[in-house]
Amino acid sequence: MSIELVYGVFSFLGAGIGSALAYLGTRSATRAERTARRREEWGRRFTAALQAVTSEDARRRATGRALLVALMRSELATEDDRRDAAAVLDAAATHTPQGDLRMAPPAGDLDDVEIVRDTGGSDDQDEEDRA
Amino acid sequence: MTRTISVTDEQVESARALIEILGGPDKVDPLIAKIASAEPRGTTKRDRG
Repeated sequence: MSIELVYGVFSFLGAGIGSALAYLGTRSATRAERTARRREEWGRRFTAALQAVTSEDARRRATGRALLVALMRSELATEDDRRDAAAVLDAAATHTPQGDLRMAPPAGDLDDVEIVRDTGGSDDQDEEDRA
Repeated sequence: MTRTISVTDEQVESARALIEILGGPDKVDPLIAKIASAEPRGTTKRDRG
């Protein structure tokens, strides 16, 4: 009688532990799958942001910059992503139709260079560049 | 002799975005920091005399 009781208790405990392990395994797999899906969606937005930053349309470029900054705040962003985004923004900040601004001031002479903001906007700048 | 280079609003915005992504003006090239803090033409110390 007591052996049957022990068998019953062990069977119950075995079933409980088995169920708990199955639950933990499923939960872990679900979490990994969810993270992978989020990362995939993040990657799509990142690609869209990079395309927007290099767009011909000024409004799209502005939206792309804002999206890029927002995406880089995400925990899903890796160091590689950050480096890619930085390279694109660096080029956008320093490249003009005339070339790279880094070529303008000789190295170490940045103190002798004053950078002013052309308030006319990019269209005016383009016109000035074409003139 | 000081040379003046003009940049567009977009270049300034890009430099600012870059600084935000990399975590501060001390983390970027000094040229980028300078572009990000560019003042509108006519409001610089040199313009004011």
